[in-house]
Amino acid sequence: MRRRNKLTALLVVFVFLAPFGGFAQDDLLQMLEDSEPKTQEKVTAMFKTTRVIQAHSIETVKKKTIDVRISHRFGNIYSTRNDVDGPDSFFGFDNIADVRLAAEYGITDELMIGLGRSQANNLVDGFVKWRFYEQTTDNKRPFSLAFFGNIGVNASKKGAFYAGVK
Amino acid sequence: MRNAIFTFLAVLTTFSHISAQAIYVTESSKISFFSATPVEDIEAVNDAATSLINLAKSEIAFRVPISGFQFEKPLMQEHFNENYMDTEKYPTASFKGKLSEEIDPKKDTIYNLTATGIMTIHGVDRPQTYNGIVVCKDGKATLSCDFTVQLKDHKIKVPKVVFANIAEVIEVKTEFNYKPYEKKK
Repeated sequence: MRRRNKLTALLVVFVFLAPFGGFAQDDLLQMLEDSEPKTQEKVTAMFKTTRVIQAHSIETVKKKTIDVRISHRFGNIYSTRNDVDGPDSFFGFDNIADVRLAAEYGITDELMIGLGRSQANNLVDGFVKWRFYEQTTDNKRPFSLAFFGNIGVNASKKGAFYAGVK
Repeated sequence: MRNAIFTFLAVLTTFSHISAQAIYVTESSKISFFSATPVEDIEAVNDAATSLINLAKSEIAFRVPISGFQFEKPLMQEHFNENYMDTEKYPTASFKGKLSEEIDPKKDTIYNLTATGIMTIHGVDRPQTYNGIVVCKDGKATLSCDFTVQLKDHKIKVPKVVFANIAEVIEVKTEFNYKPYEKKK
């Protein structure tokens, strides 16, 4: 009989405690935080733009976005060979060496294409950039990778295969 | 016999305990904000927010993942996360407060009430009181609440260059649909 009493007492304790297990957390915000699924978030804006100085970064233009680019390559800041340089050429800005006009378009958030035309050699170029591996904030993927393929065609009427000095 | 009565009472208290702790959780939610200036209107929608209401204590809390705001233009979204909200540092906004009235979702009623508590955005806590409407129907509850957020209250800095494009006071609209909370195993 004593044994049964003990068992009942134990049972009573369990029954009393059971509900606390379910709602042990009193703090609603903490409950919300705990119930949130752990999602892998992609690292965004690793670079601010699709280029780093003259090379491509892993960033692509976002979906349905068109990026019109007018890129310049300027002359030397100072050269002993040039007649006009230093302050007279505004430190090379007047001696524009090359201009590229281009339109670049995001097909998806990860895939972009671009078409451009440069002054030098009448070069028309097209490229594809595909970011196929993206870094996540939890560092399960510690880096991003992008494929970049580029083709250029010399579109000048004469000397299509002549790429030497003018 | 005495034991049986005792056990019965214990079970009874347990059940009353559960119903007293009734918690309602969001089934779906929609938070949108609107920044209106003569230069540009900016709108973003977020349906990833979660919320809980503790009916016994009349407490409410919600949590909004900042990265869940979807903008019309991807560049706006990038600037919002990178330049203004510092999403990586402060990934969520939250509110925790007390409701001015007790809600009983079992009765079909419309409540006009206020919630007073702490709003945390961009890592800055502000005491706030918001007006909202709760509509209870068929054991479910819908909360709608419109309020404004002052950028400077939460130390959200906007560069002078785009100052004309972004309003200093942002209008926020929220809608939460609640259902009874079921513990997930």
